[in-house]
Formats: sequence, C-alpha cells, structure tokens
Amino acid sequence: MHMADALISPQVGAVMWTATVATGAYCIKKIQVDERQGPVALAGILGAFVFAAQMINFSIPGTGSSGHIGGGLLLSILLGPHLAFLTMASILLIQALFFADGGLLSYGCNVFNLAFYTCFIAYPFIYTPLAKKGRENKSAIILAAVLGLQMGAFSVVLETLFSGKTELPFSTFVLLMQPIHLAIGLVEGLITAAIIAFVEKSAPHLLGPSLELANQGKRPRRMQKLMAVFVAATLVTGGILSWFASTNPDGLEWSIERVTGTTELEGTSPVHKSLSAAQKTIAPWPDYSFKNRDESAANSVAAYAGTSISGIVGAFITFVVVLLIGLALKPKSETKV
Amino acid sequence: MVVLTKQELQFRQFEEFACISSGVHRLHPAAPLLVTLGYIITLTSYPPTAVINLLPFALFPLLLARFARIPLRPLVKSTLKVLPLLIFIGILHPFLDTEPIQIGTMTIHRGWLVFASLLIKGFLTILANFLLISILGIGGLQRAMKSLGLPPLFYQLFTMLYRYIMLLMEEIYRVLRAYELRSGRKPKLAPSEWGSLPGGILIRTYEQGLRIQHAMELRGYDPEYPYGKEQPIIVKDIFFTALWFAAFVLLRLESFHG
Repeated sequence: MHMADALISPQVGAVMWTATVATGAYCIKKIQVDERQGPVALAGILGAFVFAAQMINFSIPGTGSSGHIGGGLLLSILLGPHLAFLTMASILLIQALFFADGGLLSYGCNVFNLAFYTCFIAYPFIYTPLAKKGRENKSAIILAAVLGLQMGAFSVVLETLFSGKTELPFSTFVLLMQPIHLAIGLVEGLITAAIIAFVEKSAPHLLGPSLELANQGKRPRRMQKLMAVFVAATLVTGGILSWFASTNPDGLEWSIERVTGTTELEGTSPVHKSLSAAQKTIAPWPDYSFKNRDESAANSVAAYAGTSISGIVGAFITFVVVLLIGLALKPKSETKV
Repeated sequence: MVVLTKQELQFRQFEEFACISSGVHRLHPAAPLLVTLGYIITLTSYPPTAVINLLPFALFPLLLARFARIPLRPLVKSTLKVLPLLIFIGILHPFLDTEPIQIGTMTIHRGWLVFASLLIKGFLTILANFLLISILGIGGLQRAMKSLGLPPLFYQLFTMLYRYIMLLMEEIYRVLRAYELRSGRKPKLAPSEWGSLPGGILIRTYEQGLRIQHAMELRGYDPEYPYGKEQPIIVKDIFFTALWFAAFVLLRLESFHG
C-alpha cells in the first residue's frame, strides 16, 4: 500500500508531510511528558523485528497465497500508540530509502496511511474499548486491523485523486483498493491476534507493563465510548444521510431568489471574478460532489460517493481544526505532569 | 553459516557506496538531501501528460552519479526491480483514457501519454532516491536529520532500528531454515504455527531489547544528549544546492513557456 512519488503531486505531498510532522511532534512531546524517556532502544529493536519478520510467509489455507505481518497494531499494543507511530515512521523511512517502497515526497502520505489510522484511530477507538482478556481480545485485534487498513486504503485513493496524477476514475480505484485490502487486513489481523495470544500465554508479563504504559494519561473509558459513538454518528450522517440532504435552496438562498430571481449572485467586479475562478480551481468537491466531466452523470455512483466523501472528509477536517484550536487554548499547566 | 538475504545485500551495497571518497560525499549531508527533494518536487509538479519535458531531468542522476563516483548500473538494476508496481497501476490508463491526441502526424490515446509520463517520473524519482542513500549512507542520513533540526528521539530510534535489522534478519532466516528442514516443505507457516513461531522470536527480541535499554540507561544514555562533531555548512555546500535548484527552476519555467 506504499505510494510512490510519481503518484502524488507536490501539494498533496506537502500537506501530508505537514500532518505527519505535526503528529510526530505531538508523539515526541507526549513521550517526553508522560514517560520522561521513551524506551528508544526497545522500540528500535521491536521495529527491526517487524521489518525483519516480513521475511516470514504465513500460508493462507485454500488460496495457495501467503500473508505478512502488519506492524502498526502489534507495535501499538506492545509500545503504546505514540512510540508505535514513531517506530512505524522509522520503518517506512528505511523502506522508502533502501527499497523504494514509497518515496521521499510521498513519505508523509505513507506514514499517515499506514501508521496514523492504526495507531491513533484503530488502536484507541476500536481495539482498546473492545479488548478484554480471552476470546474478545482476538476479535478486537482483527476488527482494528481490518478497519485501520481500510481507512489507509481509502486515504490512498483520496490522495491519488487530489494529486490528479492518474486518470483512474474514483469508483474504479475504490473498487480495486478496498476489497483487496479487506482481505489483507483480515489476514494481518489474524496473524497479529495469533502472535499476541501466544505472547499473552507464554510471557504475559511483557504485555502487562506495556499496556499500563499505553494507558497512562488516557481519558476515562466512558469518554472513549462517547467519542466512539460520535465518530460512528459522524460517519453515518456524513457518509449516508447526506445523500438525502435537501437540494432545495436554504433560507438565505430562498430570500435572494425571491428578490433577484436567482439563488446565486454573480459578482461583476474583476476581484469577484478572479476569486470565483480561484475557488472553482481549489475546491476539491464543488457543491459537495466530484468535479464531473460529464454533467449527465449527476445521479451516478460517483455523485453519491462524492457526497459521502465530502461529508466524511469535511467532518474530519472540522474535527482536526477544532482539536488544534482546543490544544492551542489548553492551559499549559494541564499538559505538564 | 551466515547466508545473506536479498535485503541484506541491498543494505550492504548502499553502505559500500556511502564509503566512497568523492567531492559529493564530503559535502554537508543536508545538501544532497535538499537537492534530491527539490528534484523530486520539480519532477512531480509536471502535468500527467508531460513526457518530452521530463527527459532533460535524466541528466541529474547521470551527473550526480559521475561526480560521486558511484556506478549507476546496480542502481538502475534496483530501480527496474521496483518499476513493475508502477506499470501495474499505469497500464490501465491506455484503456480507460481513450481521448485522441495528435502528435505530429500520429494520433494516440491520451492514456498512453499518462502511462509514459508516470513511468518516466517513477524511474527518475526512484533512481534519485537510491542515489541519495548511496551518497549519505545511514550515518550521513542521521547527520542530515540532526542538522535539519529533527528531534534526537526520532533519529536515534531510526538508527537503532536500522542497526538491529541485520541481526534480526539473520536470526529469522536461521529459524525459517530450521523450520523448512524439519517440516520438509517450503517455509510457509501453517495457521497452527502463526502465533508460536513469530511469537517466540518476538518474546526473545523484546527481552533482548529491554536488556539493551537497561544497559544503555545504566551507562548514562539520554536520547536528548547531543553527541558527535557537527559538520559546518560551508560555501561549496550552498553553491552545490543553489546551482541544482537554479537548474531545476529554469527547466521548469522553460516548459511553462514552451
């Protein structure tokens, strides 16, 4: 799932680099504040294990093919999400530089797709609330691995789409990416669950301190459940209910229509015109849909997909902006231990 | 018996190239890093159908390899091994994008241009990437990260990870060879062994990692503590970077007008 440099534009690369650097800086701050010194040597060696363990082929019964170990979730369980993110970023840098598995410009995209979703969404919001000792732990790992990879694969599609480097239609690309990564995620989840179950049985002391370390300074579980409900509600509202949003004009547009006979006023000055042209070029989803070459395809699958994506991505961007404002406004004394 | 895997050979090849003595190798490590990044950004900023305009950019890896005294052949070979992935993604374009485009007397599908552009960009960016690591090696990369202001915790974690990869690859190789000889079949793990074999190695690795961590801490290790001598940035570093950046900008502007 590693993206090559040739597949992305410098703009998308820069945005994803910024997001990755910001997340990395947050992780480093968190490790320094919460744990004084991150166990750098341990993280490095476990990262090397994840890298080297790619040599192991896990036979998938009935298919003749084989699967490989996925690192993000395993490292999150063993080291906590912050150190796991930095370790994954290091693994991806070595893969990019020495094996061209990814690239320098696309490095931000790859870290975000392969580490962020697993370490900061799948691990805290799916694995942690569900994980309990015994059988349930296994299903929590599988679900977290599958959803983490699905989010990553979808992110690859979006980044490629925004870059405009390939002319693959959105629906074709999604249909290529999501099902194959569903199968890969399932196998990775099963492998991770088998390894964690073995470690739990043979050396439970290794998981104990690491889980305590991971849970240090975390929100109460009730808050996590509330967050999970909000995330689910956002996905349903932005992804599905947005299809049924009214196409009739809203209150302001209705009033303007009554006065002028049209819902959208056209500016006549050069400033209005140039700003309007710039907005049309920049906006990735004009009127909450993809930029369609063919206007007749308004009711097609791509139109519905465009509405869903604009809903979900819009909600995600809003969440990130609100989170950043919240972090900026947070009193400094609260962040220090 | 130590048997080298393909990955180990790749690592060793780059480390050997990084030991070559040349003017480029003696530059401040941030200079080749920034120039390569500039090269990749310029290449990827071209539109999806650009083909002819990309060709002058092939001069960069040719000249840099010449100045750095690095043989280009093994790097090109490594690059070609990675290209099939891009071919897999790109080959759909000629069938999906059938808009006719007139080039001289020839008419071809727009998708073929997109495919060719993707391959050229992919080949050149991957080659530049391999060339960069052949110049810097892991030591140079760490020094570049340090001089660019990255937190010590990150680049030390990165270096630690790199140092242990070889050891763990050799260990896993031995375990897999033993598994293969005992099971009498190819080293593909049956689902009943998915947990025990990698899990056993993981437990050993974790305990080894903890021992190393404690040993380092007992000897006063602190990731925040600076060590090593800083290499100063001098005129030739700035000249090298500025010259390449100017060349990239000029080439890019030329194709804007052309």
